[in-house]
Amino acid sequence: MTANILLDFTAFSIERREQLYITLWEHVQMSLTALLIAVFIAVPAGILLNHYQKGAEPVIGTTAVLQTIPSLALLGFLIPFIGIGTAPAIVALTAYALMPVLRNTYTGIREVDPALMEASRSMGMDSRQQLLKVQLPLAMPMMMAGIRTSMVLIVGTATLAALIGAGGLGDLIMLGINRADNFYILLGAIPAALLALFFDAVLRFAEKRSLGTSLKPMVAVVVIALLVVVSPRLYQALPFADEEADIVLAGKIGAEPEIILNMYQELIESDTDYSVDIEPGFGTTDFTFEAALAGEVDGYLEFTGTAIADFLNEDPVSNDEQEAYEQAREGMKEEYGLEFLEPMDYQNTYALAITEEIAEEEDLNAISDLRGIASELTAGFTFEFIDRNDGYPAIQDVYGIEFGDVEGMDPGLRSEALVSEDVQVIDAYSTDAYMIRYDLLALEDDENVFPPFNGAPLLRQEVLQDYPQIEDSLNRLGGMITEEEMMEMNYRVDEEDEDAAEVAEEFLIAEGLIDG
Amino acid sequence: MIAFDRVEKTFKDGTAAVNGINFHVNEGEFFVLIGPSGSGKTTALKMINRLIDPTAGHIYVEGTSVFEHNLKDLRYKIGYVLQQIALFPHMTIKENIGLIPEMKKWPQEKIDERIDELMTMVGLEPKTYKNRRPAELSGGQQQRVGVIRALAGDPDILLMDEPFSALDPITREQLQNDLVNLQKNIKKTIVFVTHDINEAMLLGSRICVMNKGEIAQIDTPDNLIRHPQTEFVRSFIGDRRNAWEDPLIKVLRTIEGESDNPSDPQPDRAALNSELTLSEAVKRLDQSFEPSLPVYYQDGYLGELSYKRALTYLRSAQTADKRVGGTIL
Ligand SMILES: Nc1ncnc2c1ncn2[C@@H]1O[C@H](COP(=O)(O)OP(=O)(O)OP(=O)(O)O)[C@@H](O)[C@H]1O
Ligand SMILES: [Mg+2]
Repeated sequence: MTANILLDFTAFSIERREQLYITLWEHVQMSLTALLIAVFIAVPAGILLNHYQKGAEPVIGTTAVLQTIPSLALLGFLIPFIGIGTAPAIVALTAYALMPVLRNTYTGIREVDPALMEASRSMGMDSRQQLLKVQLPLAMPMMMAGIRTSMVLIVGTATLAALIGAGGLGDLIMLGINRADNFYILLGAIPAALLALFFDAVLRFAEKRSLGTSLKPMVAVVVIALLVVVSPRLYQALPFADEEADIVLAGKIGAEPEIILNMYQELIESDTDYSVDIEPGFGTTDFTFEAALAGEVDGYLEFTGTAIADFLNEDPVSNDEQEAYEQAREGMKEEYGLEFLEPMDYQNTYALAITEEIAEEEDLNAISDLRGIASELTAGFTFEFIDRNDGYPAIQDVYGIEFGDVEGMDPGLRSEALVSEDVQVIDAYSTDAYMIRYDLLALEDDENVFPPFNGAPLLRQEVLQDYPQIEDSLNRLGGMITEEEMMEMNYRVDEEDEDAAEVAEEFLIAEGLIDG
Repeated sequence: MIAFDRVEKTFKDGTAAVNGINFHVNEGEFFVLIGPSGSGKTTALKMINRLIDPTAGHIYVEGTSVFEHNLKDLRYKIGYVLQQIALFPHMTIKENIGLIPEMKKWPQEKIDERIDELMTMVGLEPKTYKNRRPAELSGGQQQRVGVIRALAGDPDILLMDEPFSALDPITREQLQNDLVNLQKNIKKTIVFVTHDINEAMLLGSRICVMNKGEIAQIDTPDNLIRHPQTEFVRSFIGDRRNAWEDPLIKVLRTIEGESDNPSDPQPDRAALNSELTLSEAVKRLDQSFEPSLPVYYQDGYLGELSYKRALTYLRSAQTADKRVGGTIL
C-alpha cells in the first residue's frame, strides 16, 4: 500500500519535473533576493545602531513587530501599495527577514568584550579598523546565525507568495489544494522543506567556518546568493533572450482559466502579429483583478456574475444572460475602465450537486425536488456559498429549503465528503472536472436563483487602443464552448493531466477557429 | 617624557577620579603608580594615551600636549598592556603581535622578523606558538604575548595596568623578573599600575602613591620606606624599617638556613661584612653594578646577597608582620 503510493508519487513527480524545476527555481530566486536585500539593509543598520544606541530599542522593536504580523495579512496589506506579483512578495519576505539579521548584528557587535575594544583603541585603530578587524569578525558567527534563521523563515513563508501571483513552490501547493490532489501538495511541500533544510545546513557550515576568522564566509554567502539572483537577469540581457511581449494576459488559478487563457493566446497570435505572454495560475480572483487594474497584466478571463456581485457590488438586474452581460460590461467600463468582450456560451455558475446514486434512489432532478427530504440531508458548502446572498440564502428564500445540517468546508474537500457520504449535497461549479470524476449530478436550478456566470475576456482599454485587432480576434470565441465541452476539457486537464495548451489548441482546431 | 600638570578628571556622573595631580616621568624610567582601589590609577594612566580625556589641566608627552599629537601617532608611540590581557581571540599569536606594525605599514619581512625576535625574547619558541590562538596558551604565556604585542611597534613608552594581577604567584614572579630584564635591554619609559607594594618595590625606579585621586608621595622605593611623608603612606607600604635595619647575618641565615657552609664560587671580589644592615648592603650592591655580592662573617663565606634575596627576606618579614597583626595593605 505505502509502497504503491510511493511509486505513484515518484512517477507523478517525474512526469511533472519541468513544473517542479521552474517553481523551485522561482522559489530559490525569490528567497535569495529577499535575503540579500535583508542583509544589505540589516547589517549596516545593525552596525549603525551600535553608534546610536538610543535608537536601537525602537528600531529593533519595530522589526520585531513586523515579524509578528501574520504573513498573509502582510501580503494583503502590501497589495494597495505595490500591487501583486514577485515584488510585493519579496518586500514582505524581506520584512520578515530583517529582524533576525538586524538583532544578531547589533547584539553580536555590542557583545564584543569591552576590554578588546579598549585594546584596539589603544593600538590606534579608528572605528573603521575596529569594525573590520575586531567587531565584525567576532560578531560573525552570531550574524551568520541570524542570516540562517532568516533564510529558513523566508523559504517557508515564500510558499504563501503564490497567493499573490509571485510563483514558487506555493504554486504547486495551491494547485493541489485547488484540485484536491495531495500529490501536488506534496510536490510543493516536500521540496520546500528540503530547501529549508538545505539552506540551514549550508549556512550552518558557513557559520562554523566563520568563527572569528573574518568576513569571508559572509562574503561568500552573499556572492553566491547574488550570482543565483543575477544570473537570469544577465541571461535576459543577452541579445538572443526573449523580448518582452506586446500583451500580457493572466489566468486565475485552475484548469479552466488556463485552458481559456491558452485559447486567447493561440487566437491572437494566429490572427495578428502581436506577441502574447500568458501567466496561468496567476492568483485568486481579487489578486488577478487588482493586477489588471494596476496594469500589471492586460487582461484575463472573468465571469459576468463575479463582476456584478464582487466588483460592482450590485444585484443582477435580471437572470437573463444577455441582460446580465450588458450590466457587467457597462459597469466595468464606467467604474474601472475595463472592457468586457463577448461572452462564451457556457456558464460556470453555482450548482447544487449530488451523487448519481442518490439521484436515482430518490428520483431527484431539480433543486425543488429536494424540498421533501432536505431536513434529513447534510450539506457541505463552501464558506463563500453559505455567505453570499445569491448562494445558500437564496436557496432558503426562493425554494424554502432548509437542510438538516450545513457544514462549512474547504472547496477541495467537498466532493470527497460527498463521495464518502459525510454529506449528501454540495455546492459546485457547473463545469468542474470532478463532476465527471465522481459521477455527480448538477440539480437543475428550476427557479433561476443563481445569477448568470458567463465567461468573457476582461481587458484594459489601453491595450485595446494600442492593439485594436485583439477585439475581433477574441470575439471569435463569443458564443462558443458549451457546458459539456468545458467540463470535458477541465476533466482532461485536471484528472487526466493533459496539457492545457494542447487541449485548448485541439478545441480551436476542431472548431475551425485556427488552422491545424 | 611624560608630564602631568594639575590634571583633573571628573566623570559625567560626578565621580572625581583624579583631583589635580602633577608629576613627570623621565625617559627610560620605570614609574609605578600604586594606591588602594578606586584611587584613580587607571584613570591617570589612560589619560596618557587619551583613552580618557582630562576635564582640566595638561598632559604632555615628549614635551607636546597630548591634544596636539595626532591621535594615531600618539597611540603608536605608546604601548598599552591591559590587566585583562585582551588578546584578540580570533587572531593567531602572530597576527596579534603583528597588528600595530601592520597598521604602521611595515614591510611584511620586517614584521615577521620582529615577531620572531619578540617571541624569542620572552621565551616563546616562535615555531611552536606563532600560529596558535590565544586560547591555546597558558595565562602567563598570554600575558607575555600581551606585553610583546604592545612592544611590537617599537613604542617609546609602555603603559601597563596591573598586567600581572590575574596570574598565579609563581608565574607572576617569573614575569616580573622578565620585565626587569626586558627593561634593562630595551630601555623604554614604563608607567606601571599595581596595588601590590612588593611588585612596586621590585620594579619601580620611582613609586607614586595615590590616594583618593591625589598623590600622597612620589619617591624611590628606598626613600618611601625610610621617609614616608604621611601616615597613609606609612600604613600603606607597611612598616619595613625593622627588616631593612636587620644585619646581613640574620638575613642570610634566614634565607639559607644554618645548614652546611657553602664556599665562595668566585673569591677575590669585593665582599660585604655580615654586620652591615640590609639597607646599607643594598646601597653597596647598587654601587657595585654586580647582580650579587658575597657576604663574609669574619673570614667565613655565608652566601650571596642579590636584590632578589633582599626582597625575599623583606617579603618574609612582611608576612611575619602580618601574622602578628601588622598593618600592611
Ligand atoms: N567611566 C567611569 N564613569 C564614572 N566613574 C568612573 C569611571 N571609571 C572610573 N570611575 C570611578 O573613578 C574612580 C577611580 O577609578 P580608577 O579606575 O581610576 O581606580 P583605580 O585606582 O584604577 O582602581 P583599581 O585598583 O580598583 O583598578 C573610582 O571611584 C571609579 O568608580
Ligand atoms: Mg584600575
